[in-house]
Amino acid sequence: MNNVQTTSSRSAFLRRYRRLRLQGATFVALVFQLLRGRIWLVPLVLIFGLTACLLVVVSVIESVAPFVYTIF
Amino acid sequence: MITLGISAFFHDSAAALVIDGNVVAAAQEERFSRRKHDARFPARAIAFVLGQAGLVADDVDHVVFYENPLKKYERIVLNQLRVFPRGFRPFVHATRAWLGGRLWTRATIADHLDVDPAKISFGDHHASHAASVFLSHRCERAAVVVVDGVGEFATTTIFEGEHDEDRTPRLIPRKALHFPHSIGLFYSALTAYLGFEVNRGEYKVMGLASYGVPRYVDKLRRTLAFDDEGALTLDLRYFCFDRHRTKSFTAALEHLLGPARAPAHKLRIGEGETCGESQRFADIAASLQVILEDYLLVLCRHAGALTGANTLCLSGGVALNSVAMRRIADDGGFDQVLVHSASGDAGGAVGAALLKDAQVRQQSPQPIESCALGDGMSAADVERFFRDCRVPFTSFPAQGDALANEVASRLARGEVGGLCCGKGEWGPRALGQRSILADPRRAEAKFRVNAKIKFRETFRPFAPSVLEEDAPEWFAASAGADDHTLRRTMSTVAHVTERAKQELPAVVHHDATARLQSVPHANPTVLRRVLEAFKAQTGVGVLLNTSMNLRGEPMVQSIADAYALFLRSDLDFLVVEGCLLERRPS
Repeated sequence: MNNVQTTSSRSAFLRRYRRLRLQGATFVALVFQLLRGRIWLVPLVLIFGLTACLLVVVSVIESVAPFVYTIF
Repeated sequence: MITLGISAFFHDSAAALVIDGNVVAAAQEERFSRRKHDARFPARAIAFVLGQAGLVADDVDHVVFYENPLKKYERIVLNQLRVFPRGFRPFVHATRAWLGGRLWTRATIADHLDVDPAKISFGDHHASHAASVFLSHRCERAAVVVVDGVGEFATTTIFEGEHDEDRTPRLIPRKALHFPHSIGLFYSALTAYLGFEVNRGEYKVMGLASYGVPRYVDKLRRTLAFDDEGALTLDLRYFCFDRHRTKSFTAALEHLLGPARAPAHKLRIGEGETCGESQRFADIAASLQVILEDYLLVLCRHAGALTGANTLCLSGGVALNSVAMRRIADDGGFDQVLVHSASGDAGGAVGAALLKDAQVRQQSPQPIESCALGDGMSAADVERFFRDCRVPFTSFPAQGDALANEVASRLARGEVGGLCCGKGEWGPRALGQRSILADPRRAEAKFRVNAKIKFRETFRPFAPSVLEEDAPEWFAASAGADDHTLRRTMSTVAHVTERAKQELPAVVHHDATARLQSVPHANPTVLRRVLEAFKAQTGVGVLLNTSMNLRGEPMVQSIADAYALFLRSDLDFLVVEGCLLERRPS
């Protein structure tokens, strides 16, 4: 069985860009869908979001870690 | 207008192609990947359906995924909030799985097909199911009932199917039940309790039920409640599928019914011996079947009252329960009952594509006349394949009765053979395109097919295929609705006549029923010709017909698949298009 034929030859970069763009759009749509009619969910989402960002920052910039740990 | 329908990422992924209202091709990924219930993106199935029409992905006007992944994930999040702090681990696991792929379905489709993302849209899980049955039949107005485990939020939905003045079909949702209250998940939880795999073993439970006495109905009734309008409530003390990843029932259910069956524990049923514990499981299966039928009957009657329609369309995984379909056809109060041949999730691909086509073109699609929508093969290719493999074979002319006569005489002599002719079936039932056939008059045929070819549990029955005009001789007619379309796709069972009990022991189930396939005169398939030839030789226009696959494998698709099965099984002969192979002593 042949693979699906593609008629255009987009570069790998363009494909990756398109995928990221679609994933971003999907994520935004998901957040809006979750929050629609559920304003009470906003603080929860914000806390989760900030925690996630914090974890990313801490893991990327190691020198920040001691300052963050003092919070806890 | 060209519409591609896709279902994937849960189980039974599939693709379907609709061109100007005609379903051109449809196939499940498992037939190509050789992985049963394959849930991966159906790249091979898509390539096949596009290839059938000589198209490439760029030619497609609309790509429709059969459900909305965002809504589905929304349900998972809301369910977690409902059950918190329980079920956190499964939530994390599910979130990982969703972030790892399912959530990005649009991007995945765009990547695989390299199509403009604007062409990609999402359907609604139950609307896709409803469309798969309502839009694929000649049906003016109908009550459409969809029952499965769970879609996005809905577990059971009643639609009113109708046509506008300008002939545009519409599916109007009239009532829905939401997760976790689901008769499909209730059935699946009991399937797990009985030691079978969820989403794969439900049909085994149905087969087991006929060996039992429904003595657990009262106890099982404590675990759920439903009213006259089909509103169902599960008692979640007994079930935990909403908060557990791998377990679907709690210790409370075991306390109520006794210990669950371990999958390794062999059921001693249907072998002439029955041990007490196996009988208990059969009794529970029988009780489960009674409750399922009672509930579906209430639901369908309510759907009839709600919509005022005389035709009932059923879809969703629960509609694969052919015993329940019999009860609904008999007692549901409808003139006609219709079921899509692939009423599980695979059928959602066809439904989503048909619904999109109807909405955009504002016209009714063409009904599906035949379930043979899969991959086919040419006689020349088959001959070349066997020559290349240096396999001796006998070639028969494509048209004519010589092949049918040869197959019929071999079957009448007690041989068991495979028939692989034409395009593969759409749906889980073998309807003569990918079938194993045997003489139903020989009781030993059932044991031989079970023990040496299919290698499956002895309590599972085999189905008969019958000349449609001869069906009344062997099988009782429906006591209620017109069920001839159900019979043509093996979607219902029928009580057998006294003559069948005496003369067709291999296809009569323990409870004197059979899941028959009636083969109409207007359908001149090879199976029809073999049935006619078998009748001419034996006076019996019935054959044992079971799907052409080994245990745990999907039905065969290609020449190579059929030949591999022939080599690995105890089939006496194999017919692929016009070529007949026979087993020779080694």
